[in-house]
Amino acid sequence: MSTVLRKTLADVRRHKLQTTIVGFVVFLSCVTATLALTLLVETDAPFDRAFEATQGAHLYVTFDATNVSEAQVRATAGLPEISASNGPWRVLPASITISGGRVRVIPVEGRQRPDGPVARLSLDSGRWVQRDGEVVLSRQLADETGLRVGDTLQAGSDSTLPSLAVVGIAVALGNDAAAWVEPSQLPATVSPNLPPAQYLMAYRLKHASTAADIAAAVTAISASVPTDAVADTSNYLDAKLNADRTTAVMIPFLLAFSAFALLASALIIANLVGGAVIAGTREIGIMKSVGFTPAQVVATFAGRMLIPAGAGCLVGLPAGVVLSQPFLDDTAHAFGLPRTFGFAPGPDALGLGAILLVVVATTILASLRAGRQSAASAIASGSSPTGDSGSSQARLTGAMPLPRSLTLGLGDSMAKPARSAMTILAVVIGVATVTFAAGLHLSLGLVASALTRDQQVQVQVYRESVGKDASGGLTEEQATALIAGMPGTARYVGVGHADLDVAGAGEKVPVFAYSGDSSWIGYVLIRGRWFGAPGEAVAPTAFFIRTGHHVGDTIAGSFYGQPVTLRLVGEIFDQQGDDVLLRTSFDSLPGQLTVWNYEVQLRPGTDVVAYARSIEAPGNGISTRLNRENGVDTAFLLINSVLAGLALVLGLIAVSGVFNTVVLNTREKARDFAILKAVGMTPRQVVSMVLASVAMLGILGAAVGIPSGIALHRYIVTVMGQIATSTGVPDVFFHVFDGSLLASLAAAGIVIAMLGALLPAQWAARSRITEVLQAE
Amino acid sequence: MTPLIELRDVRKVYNGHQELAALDSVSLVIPAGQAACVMGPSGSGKSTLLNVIGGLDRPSSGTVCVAGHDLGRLSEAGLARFRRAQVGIVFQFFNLLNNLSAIDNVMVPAQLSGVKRSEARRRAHDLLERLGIAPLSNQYPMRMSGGERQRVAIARALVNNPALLLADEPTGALDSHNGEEVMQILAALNHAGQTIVLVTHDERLAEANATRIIRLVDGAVQ
Repeated sequence: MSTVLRKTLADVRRHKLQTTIVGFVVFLSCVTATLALTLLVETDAPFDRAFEATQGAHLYVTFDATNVSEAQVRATAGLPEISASNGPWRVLPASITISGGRVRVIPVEGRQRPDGPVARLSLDSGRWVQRDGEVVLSRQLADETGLRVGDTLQAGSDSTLPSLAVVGIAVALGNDAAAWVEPSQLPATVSPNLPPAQYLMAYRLKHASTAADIAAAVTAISASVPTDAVADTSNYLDAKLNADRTTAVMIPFLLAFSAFALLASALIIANLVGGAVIAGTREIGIMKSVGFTPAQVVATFAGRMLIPAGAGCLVGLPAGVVLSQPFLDDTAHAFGLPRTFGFAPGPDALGLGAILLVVVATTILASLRAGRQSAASAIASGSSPTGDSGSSQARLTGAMPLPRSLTLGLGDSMAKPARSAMTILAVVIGVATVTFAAGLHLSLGLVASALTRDQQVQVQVYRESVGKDASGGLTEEQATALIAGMPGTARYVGVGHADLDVAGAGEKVPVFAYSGDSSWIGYVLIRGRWFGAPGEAVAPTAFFIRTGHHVGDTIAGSFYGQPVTLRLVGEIFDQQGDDVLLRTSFDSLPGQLTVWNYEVQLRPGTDVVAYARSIEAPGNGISTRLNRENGVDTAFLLINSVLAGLALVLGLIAVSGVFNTVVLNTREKARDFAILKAVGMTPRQVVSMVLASVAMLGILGAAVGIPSGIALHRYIVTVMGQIATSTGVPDVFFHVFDGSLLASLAAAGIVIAMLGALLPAQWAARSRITEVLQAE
Repeated sequence: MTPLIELRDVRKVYNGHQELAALDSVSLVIPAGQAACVMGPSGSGKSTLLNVIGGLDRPSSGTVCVAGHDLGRLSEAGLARFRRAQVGIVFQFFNLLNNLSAIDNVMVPAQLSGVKRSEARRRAHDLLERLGIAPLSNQYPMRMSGGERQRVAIARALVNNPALLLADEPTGALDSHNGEEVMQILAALNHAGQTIVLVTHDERLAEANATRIIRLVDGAVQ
C-alpha cells in the first residue's frame, strides 16, 4: 500500500466527524441532485414520453352502436390510413351514486386486457379486472369520488350495472372512459333514460403529424361505416395540447427548484470541502516537512474527501431514486399522465460525476493554496492563535447592553469573512427556498381558489335538457323557482351560452351571459372592472392576446346574424376551454337567451352535498356540480406536496451548510472556548455565544434571502401564468407576503442558522478544558 | 487557620489506565492565606493537581473541597460558576483571548458573572493600574510582551476577587527578568492575604516566594 493511500485511510479513520459531515452533506446533495435531475427529466416532454411508452392512440373514434355492428367497426382496422389498432370496446353509460347520495352518469368500457398494440392503459394501483363484479377506475374518477382500491363503486338506482368492487386505478391517454369492466359485465341493453351504447376504437395512423392527417383518417373511417355511425372522435394532438397546458404550468417552478437545488448542493459541498482542507493547513505543513510532495499532499486530501463523498454518493443515489418516487407519482398525477419511468440513469450518473468533480476541484484548489506555503509557515498559520487584534465589530458589540456571552458571539460572527459569507449563503439558500415555497404555496392557493371560485359559488346547477336532444325536465321558470325556493340559497344567477363572431378571433367566441347581478361570482380581475351595464363585457387574457384588443376597447361582432357591440371593461383570470371567451349580461345580447345553468351561493352553514342532493330530484332534469370538486385542487395539492418536499430537502442542505461552517469555526476556536470556560463561562453561555455568532448571520441571510425568494416567486408565478397558461396574473396573487409572514421568514433565517449551529455549540460546550489547553 | 482547600484520597487516571495514575491517593489541606508551591519533575501530576483543585478537571475518585464547595457534587455549570467566583487561574502560556484588548480580557470573568460593564471596567482598570500596565489597557495581547501578557492574565484572574489564585508555571514562558517580576507580584498578592497555589519547576523562585512547598513524585505527595 502506498504511503499516500495509507495516510489517506488513516486520516479518514482519525477525522471521524469530518468524514461523517462530508459523507452526510454529499449524501444529502446527491439525494437532492437525483431528485432534481429526475424531475427535470420528468418535465421534459412528459406527454410525448408517456405517449410512446403506452403506444398512445393517434385517434379514438366512438361509434354509435345503434348504427353500426362490432364487425363493421373492427373492419376499419384494415383501412390503408391505419397502421395499428386496438378495440373495439363496447362503452355503456351507467349511473353511479357518489358522495352524499348524488347520482352521476359515467361511460363504462368493457375491456378484457389493459395492454395491446395501441392505447395501453397504465395501472396506477391495484390490478386489472379478472371477473364480473370488478371494476378499474380512471384516476380522474378516483380523484373525483375519493374511491380507492378495495372500495365499492355504488350503482345508481336506475343503473343496468350492479355495484362493483374497485380492484384497480388506471390512467389512459386520451381515452374518456371513466371505468373499465369485463366485457361480459356490460348488459346488452341500456337504460331507456340514458344515451345509447357505443363502440370505441383506438388507432395508430401511418401519417399523424398534422391535424389534416388525422382529419383524412377520420374521413376514411367515416366513409367505411354506415352514415351517422361515427358519433365522436378525439385525437392525440388535442390531448397533447391539453396535457402540455397542465405540464407547462408546473415546469417553470420545477425547473427553478431543480436548478436551485443543484446550485445549492454545489455551493455547500465547495464550502464544506474548502473549509475542511483549509482547516488542515497545519497538517499540510507537517506532511510537507516529513517529505510529502505537493502532489502527494493534494492526493491525500483529495482521497480524504473523496472516500466519504463517494460513500455519500453510493448511498445518496439509490436513496434519491427511492425518495423521488412519491414526487414522480405526484408530478405525473398532476400532469394527468401515467408514470413512465422512475429512474434516469444517464442524468443521475452525470449528477453524481458533477458532485464528485466539485469535491475534487474544491479539494485541489484549497490544498494547492495551502500547499504553496512553506512547511514552516503552514504549520505556524495552522497552529498559532489567529488574529492579533480585535475587529471593530467586536468592539462595537462589546459595548452593547447584552450578556457578555452574547456580545462575544455577536462580535465573532464576522471574524472569518469568507466563512461567514458561506454561512450567510447557506442561510440565503434556505430562506429564499422557504420564502419561494411559502409564497408559491399561498399564490397557488389563491389561484386554486380563483379557479374553483368555491368561496363565492358553491354549487353549479345544470338543466340537463338544454342544448341536448333529450326532452323533459323543468322549464327555466320552474328551475329558477326551485333554486329561489331552496332555503340554503343565498343568491344565484342564471348563465346562458352562445357563440359570437368577433373580428380577429379566428373562430366563434363562446359567450357566457348572465341573467342578473353576477358581480359576486368570483372571477378575479387582472385589470379593469366587472361588467355593470348592458353592452359591457369582460374577457380573459387569451381573448385580448388573440384579438389584439385592450381593456376599454369596443368590439363589434355578430350574434346569429344580428350586430352586437360590446365594450371590454375588464380582463379576468379565467381558465376555461382555450380561454378565448367573453362574459357579459343577458341584456348585452339581442334575442332571447336560455339559461343553461345557475351559479349558486349558499347561505353560511348550508350542507353543500345535502343541498345538491335535494335539488336533484328524479325526473326533473337537474344535475349539480360542486365547485370544490372542480379537480383543480388535486393538481394544486400535488404541486404543493412536491413544493414542500423540495423545500424540506433544500432547507436541510442549508442547515447542513451552517452546521459545517459552525463546526469548523468552533473547532478553530476550541482554545478560546476552553479559556472562557476556564474563567467561568457556563456550558449554557457557550451555547448562547455560538448561537449568537450565527444569529447575526441568520439575520443577514434572511435580509438577502427574503427579497431573493420574493423575486423568484414573482418571476415564477408570472412565467407560470403568462407563458404557460397565456393569462396575465392578477396582482392579488403576488401580494401574499404580509407583515406576519415576512416576520416569520426572517425568523426562519435565524432558525436555520440556529438549527445548524446547535449541535456544534453543544459540542463546544461539552469540550474538556484541560484537553484543549494541554493540546495548545 | 481555616482550610481553604481539602483533598481526600484523590486519584486521577486518564483513559482508564489504572496502573498509570496522574494523581495517586493525594490528601492535602491548604489553609487560606498560604502561598503553596507545587513542585516535581515533568509528568509528576503537578498540573493535574492544579486542574483538580481549580475545577478544570474531575478526579477519578476521592473528594475535593475548595472554599466550602465539594467539587464532586457540582454540575458542569456549577463548576463554571465556582471557577469564576472562587478561583483565578494564571496559565503558563497566558491563554488570553487575542481578539480582545487587555482590559476586555480582564473584564470577561466579571461580565460573565453578571457584573455591569461599567463596574467590570472599573475593576479591570484598577487591577491593570496595580500591575503597572494601565497604559496598555487597549492593547491587544499579540502586540504585548510575554511579561505584559502574564500581568494581564493575573489581572483577569483577580477581577472577581477570588478566594484562590492558581498559577500553572506562570514564569515558564518568560525570560528571567519578567519571571522575577511576575513572582514578585504573586508574592505581594499573597502578603496582602491572597491564597495562592503555584506550580513551578524553579526551585529558587519557589523557595524565595512560597510559604509552603508540596512535592509530587509519580502523582503522590512526598
